[in-house]
This record gives sequence, C-alpha cells and structure tokens, in this order.
Amino acid sequence: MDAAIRATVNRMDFSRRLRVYALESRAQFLSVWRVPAFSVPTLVFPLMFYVFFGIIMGTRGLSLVMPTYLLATYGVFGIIGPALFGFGLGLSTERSDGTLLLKQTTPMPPAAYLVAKLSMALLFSSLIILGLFCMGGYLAGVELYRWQWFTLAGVLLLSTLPFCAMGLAIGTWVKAQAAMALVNAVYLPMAFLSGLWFPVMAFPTVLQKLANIFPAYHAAQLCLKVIDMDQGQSAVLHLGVLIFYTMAFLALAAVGMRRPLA
Amino acid sequence: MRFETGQLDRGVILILVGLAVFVLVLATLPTPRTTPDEVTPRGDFAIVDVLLFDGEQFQEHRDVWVEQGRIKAVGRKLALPDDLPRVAGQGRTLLPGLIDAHVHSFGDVLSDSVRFGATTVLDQFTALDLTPNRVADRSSIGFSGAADLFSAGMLATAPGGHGTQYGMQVDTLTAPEQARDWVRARKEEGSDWIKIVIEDGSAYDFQLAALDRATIAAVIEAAHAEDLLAVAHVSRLSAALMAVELGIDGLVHVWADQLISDADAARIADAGVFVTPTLAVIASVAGQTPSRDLAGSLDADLLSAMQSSTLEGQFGATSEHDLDIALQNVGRLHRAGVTILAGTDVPNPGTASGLSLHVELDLLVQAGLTPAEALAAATSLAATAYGLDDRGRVADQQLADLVLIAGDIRGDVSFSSRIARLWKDGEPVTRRLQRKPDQAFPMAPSVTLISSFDTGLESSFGAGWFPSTDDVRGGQSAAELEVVDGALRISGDIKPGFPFPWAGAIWFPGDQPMAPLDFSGRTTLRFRARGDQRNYTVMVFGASMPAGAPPSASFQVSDQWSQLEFPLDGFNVGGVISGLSFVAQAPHGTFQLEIDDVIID
Amino acid sequence: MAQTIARLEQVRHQYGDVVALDGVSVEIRQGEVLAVLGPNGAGKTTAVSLLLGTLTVQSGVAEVFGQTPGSQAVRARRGAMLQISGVAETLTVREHISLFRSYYARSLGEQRLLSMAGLEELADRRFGKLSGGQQQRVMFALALAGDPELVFLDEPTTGLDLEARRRLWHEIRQLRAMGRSAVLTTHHLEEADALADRVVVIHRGRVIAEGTPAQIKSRSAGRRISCITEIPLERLSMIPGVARAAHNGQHTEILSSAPEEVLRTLLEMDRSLRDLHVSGAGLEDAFIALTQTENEEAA
Repeated sequence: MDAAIRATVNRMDFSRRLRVYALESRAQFLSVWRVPAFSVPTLVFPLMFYVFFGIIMGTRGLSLVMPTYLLATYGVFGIIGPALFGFGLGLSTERSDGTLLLKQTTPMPPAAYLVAKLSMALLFSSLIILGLFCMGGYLAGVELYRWQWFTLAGVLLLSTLPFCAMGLAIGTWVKAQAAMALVNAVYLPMAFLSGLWFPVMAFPTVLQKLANIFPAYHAAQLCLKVIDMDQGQSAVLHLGVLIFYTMAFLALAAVGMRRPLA
Repeated sequence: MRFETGQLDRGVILILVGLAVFVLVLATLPTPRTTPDEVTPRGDFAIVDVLLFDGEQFQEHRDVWVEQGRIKAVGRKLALPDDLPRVAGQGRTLLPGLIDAHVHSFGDVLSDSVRFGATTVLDQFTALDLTPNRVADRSSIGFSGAADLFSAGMLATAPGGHGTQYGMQVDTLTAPEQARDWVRARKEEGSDWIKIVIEDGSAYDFQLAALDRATIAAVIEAAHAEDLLAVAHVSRLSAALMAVELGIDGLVHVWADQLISDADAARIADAGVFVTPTLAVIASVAGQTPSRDLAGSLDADLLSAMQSSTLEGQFGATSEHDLDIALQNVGRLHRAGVTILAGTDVPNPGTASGLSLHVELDLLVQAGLTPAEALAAATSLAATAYGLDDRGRVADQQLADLVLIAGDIRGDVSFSSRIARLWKDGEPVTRRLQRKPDQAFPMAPSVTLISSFDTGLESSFGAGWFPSTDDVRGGQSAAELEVVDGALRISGDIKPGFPFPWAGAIWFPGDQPMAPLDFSGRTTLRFRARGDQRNYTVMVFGASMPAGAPPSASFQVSDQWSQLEFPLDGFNVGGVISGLSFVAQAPHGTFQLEIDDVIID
Repeated sequence: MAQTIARLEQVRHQYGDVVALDGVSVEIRQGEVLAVLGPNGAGKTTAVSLLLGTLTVQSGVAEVFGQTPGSQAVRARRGAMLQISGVAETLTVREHISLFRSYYARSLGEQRLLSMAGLEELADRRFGKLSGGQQQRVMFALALAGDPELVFLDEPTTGLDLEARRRLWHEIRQLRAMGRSAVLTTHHLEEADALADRVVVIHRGRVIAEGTPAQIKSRSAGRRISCITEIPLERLSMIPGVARAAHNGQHTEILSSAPEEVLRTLLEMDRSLRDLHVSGAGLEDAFIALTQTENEEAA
C-alpha cells in the first residue's frame, strides 16, 4: 500500500477509534445517569451527609475543622460510589445479561469498554467533587488555598482508580444480585471504619490501627494531607498501599475476566 | 463510509466546556482572605494559618483571634466573622510577647524592649518612683508605647555593697532583725518580689561589703511571709548553692566561676529554683560583643540612641568570667531539669534593651536548649515562675501581646531581622523610630569652632554655656562654670536626691535654650578635656526632648589634656542639635572637668 | 456450489462432563440462510458461540472467512443477534444504533437500519420501554449495523407473539434478498421452513440430518394422522409405528412412519373414531421423526 494512503487510513482509523471511545463513554454515562436509583443516591448522599454532619453539626462553635476535614473524607466517600456501583455493579450486570457478550461479537475495542466505565466514574466523581466543594466553600465557609482546592480535587479523582479496580474485580467475579449485596456490605462499613464519616482520631486505638487495612483510609489520608489534617503518616505509604490494592484488584479482575460470560 | 464529524465535534466541545467549568468552579472557591500586608490591624483581628509557638510548643496551621486586646480564641480553621481583618500567617511564626526576666528599667528600656518584642520586662532593681504608672499600665488594656513592667524595686544589699554604686538612694541592711521591716517597706513601695544581692566582688577581683548568711536567710523568710518571691543575684557557685539552701525561689544570674556538678544541679532542680542566666550580659563581661554584632545586621532606624549607646559600652575585662563555663552550667542545669528563664540584664554595657533578649535566646540554644525550650524560657516559663497568669502564652483570654516573624523559626531562633509585625495589647507596635527630617530648622552658621574659651564663656553662636544639674528633676547635685587659662573648668558635686544624678555644663546652639539648629553635613564632635579621673558623659539633644536619657556617650579623662572625637551619627539626632552637654554622673562625690576647643565639623 | 464462508469441522465441546457438541461439522455457504434446528439443549447455541468466537474451540476446527472466528477482522464482517442479550434499557434506540455503528469502519446508515428493522417510529424511545418484539427488532438492527456479510441469529423469535414473529421473518427475508448470508438457530421448524435455504438438524450434540427443507422432509417417510378419538394418549403411543401422539384441540394427532398399520389398529380399537385425516408430514414432523429415531437408537 502506498504510504500516503496508509497514513490516511491510519488517521481515519484513529479518528474512528476516538469516536468509539467517546460514544461508548457517553453511552455508559447516560445509561447510568438515567437510572435514578443509581444516580440520585450516588450524587446526593455524599452531599446530604456533608450538609448534615459537616455543615449543620460541624459548624457549631468557633471552628471550621469538621467541615474542612469532612470535605476531604466525604469526597472520598463520594468517589467510591460511582466506582463500586457504576463500575462494579454495572459490569456484573452487563456480564450477566449478555450485554458484554453482544459487545464481544462486535469489533468494539475491549479497552473502549473499560475506558468508558472509567470515564463514567470520573465524570460522576467530578460532579460530586464540584457539589461538595461548593457546599463546603459557600455554605460552610471552608477556605483553602487555591492550590489546595485543585490538588484535593486531583487526588480525589486519582483515588477513584483503586476503587474502580475493586469494582472491576467484584464485577468480574460476582453475579449481579450478589454483587449488589457485596458492594453494600463493603461500601458503608469500609467508609465508616476508614474515618470517612467521623475523624479517625476519634476512634479507639484498635480501630485506628484497623483502619490501615482499608484503601479508603489511605485515600482519605492522602486527601487530608493536602489540607494538613492527616494522621501524619507518609504520603509514600498511602500511595504504596493504594497502588498495591489497585494492582491486586486488577490481577483478580484479570483472572475473573477469563471466566465465561453468561 | 461516512464520518459524523459534527457529532464528534459537539462531543469535544462538550468535554472542553465541562473541563472549563470544572476548573473555573475550583478556581473561584473561597481562599483564605487576608488583609493586605501594608495594613496592620488593631483591636479586633485574626492571624490565620500561622505556625504558632503557644508558649510551650509549636503548632501548625493555627488561627489566633484577637478581640479587645485579648486573645478570644486559638485553633485550627476558626469560624471567623467575614468582616474581621485577617493577617496572613502562612510562612510565618507567631510567638507570645516575650518576657525579659532581667532588666533594669530606666531611660528607654521599656520602649526599646517592646519594639523588639519584649512586651513584658521583669526589673531586678530600679527606683520605683520613676515609673509611677507601671501598675495601671500593665493591668489595663491599651498600649502606652512601653513594655509592661514588673519589678523587684529596691534590692537587699549591705551598706556599700553591690547596688549602691549607681548613685541611687539604697535602703541597706546590716542585721537579720531588720529583714521583716525591710521587706514590708518594699511591699509598701510596690515591689512585686524581693531581690537579694549575694555578692562579695570576689568573682570580679575586688572586695565588696555583703550581707551575711543570717540576714539573707531572714530576708528570704520575710519575703515568703509576705507572699513574695525571693530571688538572688549571685556570681559564684558557692553563693548560688547557699541561696538554694536558704530557700531562694530563683537565681537571676548564672555563675561563671566554676562548673556545677550534676549532683548540685539536681539539688537545684529538686528545690524547684529557677535560674535566669543572663548570658547576654555575661558575654559582654567576658569581652564578647554578640549584641553589638546582631545590631550591626539590623536597620539603623530600629535602634534608639540609648540602645546604640549601651551597645558601645564595655566592662573592664575580667579573666575569671568565662562565657563557656556559664554556657556549660546552663546546659547542666537544664539537663538536670532546672527551669531556665531568659533575661538580659539590660541596659548594662554591651547590651541593648529588647535586642539582647534575642541574643539571650541564641545563647540558650547554644547552651543546649531546643529552640522551643529557649522560647518557653522567654514566655510561658517566665510567666509561671513570676505568677503572671495573663501573659506568656497564646491562649484564650491571654493578653494579645504577639510577635509575628517571617519564616519558620523552629530550627533557628535568630529572628531579629525577621519580625514582621508586633502587637502589645492588640495594638500595633511601631518598631522603627520616627525621625523628623522634614521639619525644617534654621541652618547652623558654617563656623565649626563652637568655643575656644580663649576670651571667656562666649561661643561662636547660640545662647551660650550654662550649668546643668539634676536640680531640675529634684536632685541636689551642683555645678559651677568658669574660664581658666583659656579653657572651661566645670566644678561640681554629685549628690543623692535623684536616682540618676548629674551635674555639668550645657551649650545651646540656638538663640533660646533648647532651640534646635540644623547641623546636617557635619559629622564629628571634637573637644579637648582633662580633669579628675572618672567617667564623664557627653550628651547631644536633638529636635525634641527624649522620654528617657538623651543620646549620650561616655568618656574618661586624666590630668593630661586629651583630644576626643565622637561621630555625630552615634547620637542619632539626625543632624539636628538643640543642646550639647558635658556632665558627670554617678557615683556621688565632687569632680572637676576641663573642656577646650569644642568643634562640630 | 456457492463458496463456503464459515465452517465447523469435527467440533467437540464439553462443559465439564457434559458433552455439548460431539463431532459436529457444519458449513455455511455464501448467500444462503442456514437454519440450525434442534430442541433446547441440543447444542445449537454452543455451535453458534464457537462460530462467534465467544467460546474457544476445544477440539476440531471453527473458521469464519477462513480466519479465527473471534478475530477483529472477522468481527468487522459479521453481525450477531444473541439468544440472551440485553442492552442498556435507558438508552434510546437511536443511541444504541449510533453506538454500534461506531464500532464498524463500514456501517449501514442510521435511517437505513431504522427502516430495515421497522423502527422509524421508535427511534427516540428508550430500549426498556419497548415490547419484546420491538426489542428483538432493535437487536436485529444492531446485528446489521456493520453491514455484515454474515449474520448470526440465535433464536431470534423466542418469546415473540405470532405478529411480531412474522414481522421479524419479513426482515430476515429482506436480508437474504440483499445477498447476505445468515445462520439462524431455532427450535421452530416453521421458522426454518419459512426462512432457510438449508437446514442442519442437531440433536444431543450431533448433526442428525442436513439438507434443504424439502430434503429433510423427504428423509422422513412419515404421515400425520389426525382424528377425533377417545383412545388415551398413553395407549396410542404404545401402538407400534406411532412416533408421537398429541392433542391438538379436539383432534388427536399421530405421527407415524407406518401409517397403514397404525390406522388398522386404531380403527379396531375405537369404533367411534371419526373425522379422520391423513397428510404428509411437514418439516416439523420430519424433525420429530428424526429425533424420535435418535431417541430410540439411544434407548
């Protein structure tokens, strides 16, 4: 083939692939967005809890420590939702109902499917972050340096990755109905024990130590480090644990992915 | 094959718009609001996100809320009212106002101290009638331009003992029976605690009359009976140990005659006796010049004439006084658990009020204290030791005496040149001295020779020469002027009556006494002098009468004529002179001084 | 003879101990509609999955367009409508179609797909709001999105009412008219009869018959006997030569490869037998007969 023609074909191919990724992501987002049973709790619960615990209860007295602290931890709570429910449950359902099977018969690049799910989770996370930040900043009176707002948002967005990996692992191993139960069984206890609802320093020492095993704890500590409210452990430790969990879940998912679809 | 590029483009635009919204929202979220740095708020304000030394330890990211001269709240992320002025604390360190636990208050000591962050000073001997307003000043909110003063007042010493040499009327003791009445008299005068001199001069190679052991014991006992602390001046280890044995509460110098043993240090610790080493003055006695060196690195307009003048002063070198031994003693005491306080003994020669407290902090760190321990020595520990419960800490209801320093001083307490803001009772302290270069005064005639006394008392210009004594302040000193053999002879007698007596001659350059003339362009004051061997002082008065002692310099003469020169810069009068005087001061006694060929060029 | 575009050759497939396919060979030829016929559990879906590449071949050969069935090149040239497959219920028909079209370098136009599947009126409805038949038509449209040369239709009319089934049949016929090849699995003989050029009958993992619908019918010499009788079905099925007996409304229908003997017995057993009608068996009957034989052989 003439090089010029090949280049043209490649370019068209690239543009078409981009279009697949874009449309797949859009479809993923819309399909989740249009399920109020998912999108409303995912978006509203973190904000609602924040209003209640962070603003109504948290701004009594002279200090804005609670609204500031909870801004970071409810941020983590918020971003875990789309990762586990959107990514994990969605994958599990689509494996069970044949959607994934049908897509596998088409020339859709498999990466597009994962990228789309990730984009969906990130988009939901972004909305939650914007909502929380606006409430914290404009209702609770939280003030952070500009670099802190941006870094906190960035760390929160990055923190979705381990939980997307966790969702991926759950989605590949667990059937839809069981996945729902599993995600619920993991989500709330992990959130609580990681200090996402109440500061971890308020816990008994045993629970403070226990918190170290949860990826949510490390994500929260990393976020809290941005606003100097963490427990003082090293950022490298938190990053290391999060990377370890991400890798472990991805490995688990890779094995699970080989299992036959419905 | 058809590409629906329109749809894709819409998608790209949507993504870009979404990103832009995301970034825009983040960029407009509330950030810590602070008042512009040019404005120093007063009264009600807050310092936000500062590294706080609260008197005991460092705490990061603290907000400090000041209301009506006191601290209303301290904490992280305080919910501050929207309209409250806020000072940016990021990258800065906030300290409680410092406490100099050893000063002697006269002249500009109080105003100079406060300009360097020593918002409270603990005076260890002064004439209390010089500061009649001290109790009202220190217990009310509102800044009078001076540090709050707490004082021992008169000290307990033997007739002719240490403390009597400064020309002040001293009520001395000779027997234990006098102790109770003596202490009651001090309490009556307003002494906040009792200071006892235990000094026989031996550490300085001379002999001084000293209180005997029984009298010392009786004074300590009497002080405790009146609920007053008893602290002691010591210069030898033996004296320190004796004072501790007799139940002293604090030692206001460290000794440099010999090293303390760990056992003795432990005894002092067990007795709960605090030690204020005054390393800054010991360094000067040992012939070192840390205060002057530090002053050299600071802007000139931070130093008052008095500070400049005391910095130039020197003790006669005394070999036995070894700063290293003093430092080691402080280290041992500290390790043994003795409470160490920061005090300077300003305005002794080689020190400067306020500034030397910074030197003291450095020396304490050198002796082995951590920066936080050194700062505690100058804040909370001093407050606790002297029972001052409204200062020394940054905490609720404490006085808003605050020092804001640029940078993080956890590793380095040398912050003299980095003081960003200062508040006393929540009011900003102006650190730099106001000069009035804009005020126009008549130019002095260009002739540089003021008087040659060849034909009498005349001068080339001005109102002429007059006697000047402390009788204007209620003193008894006297002086006579006459021209003998083409020179001005000043004969006088320094007598008790005013705490800082003087007598001598003054020349007024203007037509009226104290009318200023502009001498800008001139650099040097020169004259010849001879007379009785003692210290004399030349004082230069500027555009206005100073609150304390005027800018001055001391000189010594012999029976032979000597030529003397003083740079005018050293007097800090900005080229404006309203009076020039040559006087004798303490100690008491008669004197004769001859002056000739006075030149300002 | 038309070119073979896909084939299974001597394919054996097991799920654990259960043998799903046991040496199956099937060829799909250019331009034909091939019906894979068999009862539930016969192995039809396994065979299709191997040709789609969603199952990996354990033994034997599976090829489409001369390549591995799951390869990207093959995927680009064929479409599939699976027996069990959902798509997101909250997306509209148009959104699904435009998404699937994006997968292919060469796709049919959106309007064309909508009209081929009869979805013009439903384009902006969400998938979940459609009836079963409408949903199957959407899946059909998605199968055609890439303008495929070969389409797999795995039980496309399962669960549809007659009207919906007829409608989909119409669309599948259009496909054939366009010269596309198709593999249709079904357990409805009527469907295979109506749509297929060729039929492969699979039973218990084996191909038991192959040919045109007519050939399959001729493979069975059987007749359908229809009558109104009071003989219980259990007794009827014990009569030698009866392949199957069943009620059909008032009538009892008997399938037999030896109708004369069966009739004689029947008439002896039930004197009141009436409304007797004997006809040649359809593909359905042939299928039953064929599978009956298999059953007997197995027994």
